[in-house]
Formats: sequence, C-alpha cells, structure tokens
Amino acid sequence: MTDIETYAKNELEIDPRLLEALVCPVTRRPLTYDKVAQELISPTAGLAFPIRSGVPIMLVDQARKFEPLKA
Amino acid sequence: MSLPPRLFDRSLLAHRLDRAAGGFTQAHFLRERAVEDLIETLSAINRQFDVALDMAARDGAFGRAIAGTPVADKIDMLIEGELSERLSAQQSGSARLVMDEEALPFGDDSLNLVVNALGLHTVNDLPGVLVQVRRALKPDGLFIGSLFGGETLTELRACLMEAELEVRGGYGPRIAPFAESPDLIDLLKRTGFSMPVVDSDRVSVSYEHPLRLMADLRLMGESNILLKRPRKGLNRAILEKASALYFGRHADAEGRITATFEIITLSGWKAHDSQQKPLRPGSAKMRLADALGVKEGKL
Repeated sequence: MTDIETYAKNELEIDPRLLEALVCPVTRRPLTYDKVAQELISPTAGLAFPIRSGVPIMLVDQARKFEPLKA
Repeated sequence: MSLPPRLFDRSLLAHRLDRAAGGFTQAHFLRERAVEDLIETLSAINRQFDVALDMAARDGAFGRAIAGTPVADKIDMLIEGELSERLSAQQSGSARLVMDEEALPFGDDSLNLVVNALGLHTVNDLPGVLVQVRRALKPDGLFIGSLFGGETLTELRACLMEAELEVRGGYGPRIAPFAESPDLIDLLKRTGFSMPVVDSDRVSVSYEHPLRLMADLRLMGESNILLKRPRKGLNRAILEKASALYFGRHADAEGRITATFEIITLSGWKAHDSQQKPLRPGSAKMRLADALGVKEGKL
C-alpha cells in the first residue's frame, strides 16, 4: 500500500458519532466495531456488516453470516 | 401479531435506484421541490439539532441544498442514509451509511432530527417505519418526511388502465396506491407523534408526450416496484392507446400534456414534558358561556 492509499484509508474513518448511534437493524442491540476487518458485528444476530470506504452497509443481505452467540 | 401485507419489492427498489444513479439529476425537479418543502418547514423551526439523519438521502440532495443556508447552522451533524450504494457514493457528506428505511439501524433516543424526502411512499409498513423513527428520536426530536400522495399520476393511472383493458381485456396494477393526506394526520397520532402537521403540495408538470413522463419516472428510480406488478409488460398497442387517451383528456393549448404530482409533507415531534398539550377535560377555570358572553342553555 502506498502512502497515498494509507492516507486515503485513514481519511475514510467512520465518524465516531455515527458509530455511537448505530445498532443492529435486526436485533436493535449494540454493535462491535472491528477496525481491522472493517466490520460492524452484531454478535446475537450472527451478522457482520461490512464498512466500505468508511460507509457502513447496514443491509442484512450484504452482511457476513456467522453462528450467533447465545443471548 | 400479523404483519401487514407486503406491497413493494424493496430489493427491486434498490436495484432500480442503483440503475438510476447514473442519470439521477436529469429528472431531479420533483425531489428538489420536496427538499425545498422540507427546508421550508425546517426554516420555520427555531431549534438546534445535534444529530440529524436523512433516511432516504438518495444522491444527497438535502445535504447539498442546505449547505450555506441558515438551516445548515441548525444541524450540527447530518448523517446520510440511503438504500442504494451507488447513490450513496454520490453524496458529499462525511457521515454516510447504506441502510433500509424499513429496518432503521439507530438506537433508541439517538437522533434529534430525522428527514425523509420522497421515500415514504415506497415502504411496505409506513406505521412500522414511523414507530421506528419515533423510537430513534430523542425526546423533543423532530421528524419531517414526504411522500407522493393520492393525487399523484391520476391521469396516467386512468389512461393506462383503460388502454390495457381495451387491448387485453384486463389490466394489472401499473402505478402504486398512494396515501391520502387526511389519513396521515391520524397515522402520525397513532404512531405516537405529538403536534402532527400534514401539508400537501400539488405540482403540475408539462410534458410533450406521455412516454417522456414515463421515461422521467424511470430516471427518478420510481418505476413499478409492486410485488403484484403484472408479469406481462405494456406493449406498443397499449402505450399508443394510453397516449391517445392522455392527449385527448389532458392536453393544453400548445398540445403538451399535464401530469399531476402531489407531494405530502408530514411532521411530528417525539413527546417531551416541555411541549404544549391540551388541558384535561373538566379542568377549565372559566365557563365557556361566560367567555362567549351568552346564556348557558340546556342541551
């Protein structure tokens, strides 16, 4: 990754106030922000919503599915 | 609990909006008008909003329209939410997300203002969406949204129906049903909003041909998303018949046709103790008859 690309990626950080307001659209429970994978994880729904270019994609059909944790 | 019947294919809507994204500004006049209506309502409200959400931001028209105006000074942070990822990429704001208006991903009491310009006529469960919005608002938070109302495209609806009936001996729903403004005041109250206001704005648009109108609807991403849309498309014979009917009934002196759009703007507040509310029945300190200066009679 070139310096310019690194810079661009940092510029596309998700706004902390947006992050604070977001919940899982299915369970309406809090999300965990995985900064490295650029995902917003809803543990009880078993869904990981991708963040593309700093934009969270909060659509179930775009989310990565995994075995949900027991609530 | 039974869910209301689903009318609209939301994934088809996302697809239509994605497809319309390239030329979205070409048929922008109705959205601009709707955004103006929202801004007009907001201008009259003397209030600061910490966190605002545009829940059907499309290409970011609202965010761009308020930039540099007094309304922008009232909003500390504007979050732009949009169903179509391609439209979302055209927005200029710094806080964006892709979301479905029917599954609002915001926590309770997290927003001070929610706006929605011309998105509400495409949701399946409008009461459910309004309840979600009210929950996401902080107490004393404001919602302003707009949708196409019952007067919208009445001319085209009738002409298509009659033409298809004549050519095929039957017809399918080509244009979605739209809400009527008197029902919406009631809906805002039922979904728990205080001080509800509903306002209707009729827009007459002149076109050289009904096919140009239909092309514009596609450019707006507003073509048919009804789940029960007919599988058989409109053929040439139907379109020609419908166009002839349209010209026959709604042509002006210059031979252009008129299409009516009704933009309904609704607003309501999440309840808060500081808001004005009606007094309890029987709590009056003065007799109405005295106030009116008349003698009280028996009923």
